[in-house]
Amino acid sequence: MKKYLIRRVLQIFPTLFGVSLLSFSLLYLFPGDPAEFVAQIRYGVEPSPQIVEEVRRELGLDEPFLIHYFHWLTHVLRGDFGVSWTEGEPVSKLIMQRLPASAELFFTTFAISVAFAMILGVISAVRKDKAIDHFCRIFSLLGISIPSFWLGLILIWIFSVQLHLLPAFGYGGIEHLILPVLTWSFSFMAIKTRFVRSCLLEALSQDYVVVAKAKGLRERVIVFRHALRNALIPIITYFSLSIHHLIIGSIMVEVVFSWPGLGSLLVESVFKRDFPVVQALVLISGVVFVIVNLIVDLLYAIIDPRIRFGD
Amino acid sequence: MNINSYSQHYCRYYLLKIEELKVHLKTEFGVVRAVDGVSFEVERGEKFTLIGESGSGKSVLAQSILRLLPKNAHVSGRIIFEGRNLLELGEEEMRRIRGRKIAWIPQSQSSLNPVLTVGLQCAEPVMEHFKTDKKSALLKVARMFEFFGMGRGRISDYPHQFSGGMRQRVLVAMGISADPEFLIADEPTKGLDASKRKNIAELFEKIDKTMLIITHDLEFAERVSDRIAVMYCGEVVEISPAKEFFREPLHPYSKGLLESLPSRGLKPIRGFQPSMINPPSGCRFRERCEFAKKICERAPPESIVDGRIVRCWMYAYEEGVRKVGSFGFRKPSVGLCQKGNTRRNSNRNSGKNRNSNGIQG
Repeated sequence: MKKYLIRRVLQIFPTLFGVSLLSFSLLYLFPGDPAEFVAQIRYGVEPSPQIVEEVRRELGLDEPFLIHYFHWLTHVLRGDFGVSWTEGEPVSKLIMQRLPASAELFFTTFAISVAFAMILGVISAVRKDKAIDHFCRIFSLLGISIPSFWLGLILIWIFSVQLHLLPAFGYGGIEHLILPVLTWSFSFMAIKTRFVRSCLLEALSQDYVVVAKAKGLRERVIVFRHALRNALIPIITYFSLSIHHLIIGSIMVEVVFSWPGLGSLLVESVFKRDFPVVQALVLISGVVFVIVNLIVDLLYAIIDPRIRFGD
Repeated sequence: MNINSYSQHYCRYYLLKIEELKVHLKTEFGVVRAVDGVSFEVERGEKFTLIGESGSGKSVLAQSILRLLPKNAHVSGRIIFEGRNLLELGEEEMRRIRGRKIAWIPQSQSSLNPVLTVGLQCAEPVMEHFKTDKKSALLKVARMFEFFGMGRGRISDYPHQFSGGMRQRVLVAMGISADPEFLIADEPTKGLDASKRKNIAELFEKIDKTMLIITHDLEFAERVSDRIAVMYCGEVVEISPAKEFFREPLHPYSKGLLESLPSRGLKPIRGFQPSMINPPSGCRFRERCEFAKKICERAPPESIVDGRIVRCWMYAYEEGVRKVGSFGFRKPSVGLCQKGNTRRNSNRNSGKNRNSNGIQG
């Protein structure tokens, strides 16, 4: 277990290096000269070449790529993502302003959709081919086929425009949270419900389930102790891999509902060509993904003794 | 004597009686008649072994007793256990019998849950049927593990940490943990090497419980069983006391099985087992039988030969004429008697004393 843990933790460093290199190179990959762009923002429409060169030196763009990267990385490691080109404020401050709203939306959606996917998936597997299973099937089919931006707009139209029950956009109390979470989790949990169902059905068809039944165990014990624990291994993999869907989806949902989170900050910054912010956000989402994968691998070890004692 | 003596008196002869059991499995290719009219009794205290080739329906038969078959299986007939027909019980009543009254020792491959400790898996029947807490159930399991020569500490290990032979012992421990009346062991020596098979045989000899053993390991069967039933193509073709069976099998198929053993000439039975979807009419073995005659196109009756049951025309009377001679087959050294005369033979093994734990010390 210890060996496995240490190996897994060590493995994330090369990945993190790659993530940082990629997010840093965004600056070089985008078309146009960043120095000229910053000079334009600061000094008006047509900056002189001297001013552009001055800005280039100030931004460190005159240095070779790797040295510039090294400078950037040492700052990032100290939590300094530089200064926003358009806002003139530290990037970290901008991110910290937007982070709570995003986190609130993200965790609520994730918790709700995972809970519902598990509950509905287990019910439809245990009551396979019964009415409730068919209901869940239709429900998931809708969730898969309805695009969430459309669902979001329809929900706004019904609950805000027609019924005046909920705010259409913005950030605030719990009533602001309802529509974005509903929109977002509906599509997110749809496929997952089906996935939980099929994983559980697969586990329920194993020999050890027949053996558990032969021991006179109750159905509840058979499903939860014997089958679900085994089914959890693929379920956790799939859920964690889908977290990047959630991160990408957050951008769309935040834009539709004008949610002041990191997703809308990313979109704004891309449009304003505010590269330090874009770099930071890409880096952060990459790091989040790497950490999520690490947590998942540790969860495997908790659930599956074959991994825990494997080496 | 304990309170069980009443129930023992109640079914003095048999613990389990199967009457005209049919298990038909609906598949996309047609109805597989996996068990097709099987009757036998398992007497209290004996080890009754079902042998036969793979696919002869013996495992299905065993699973139908505990009603573990999937929904596409249609089971008819009667399975009488302690005076009740198991096929008529409600699901909850059946659940109380499983593991507590009738336990199942499954085949070793993938029968253990990979993510639970073996100790918990063995303790589950105890926890469920005696409502004990996990701790004391595990204590009982630890004692059993010690008895089976595995060491107490191993209860907290997982199935993948056990070798095949050890896993089979765990399965046996799991079967007897709730002290059932009746054990069904499904191919307990499958996939084990010779020395492990010997260990399992020794273990089975130590367990003094009424048992139904399913196997195609004839050497194992010879060692542990009191009576042998031979299944062929969904039917039982012979039931004999083990000693007599291995000394002189009656049915041509039984002979063929024994002769296919390496120690007895390694001579395989010619041909293949017929399809269970459209089994041949008459005697199902006749296409592979070297003694087959015209009469074998009719289903052979069940004959009793010195208390042994055999389903073959060679041993049948027809219109008062003994047919045996005309088959050109060495007639059995035992006398023949007509069906329905003495179904119950004298093979009740009385030599074994039983204690409450079901284990002989």
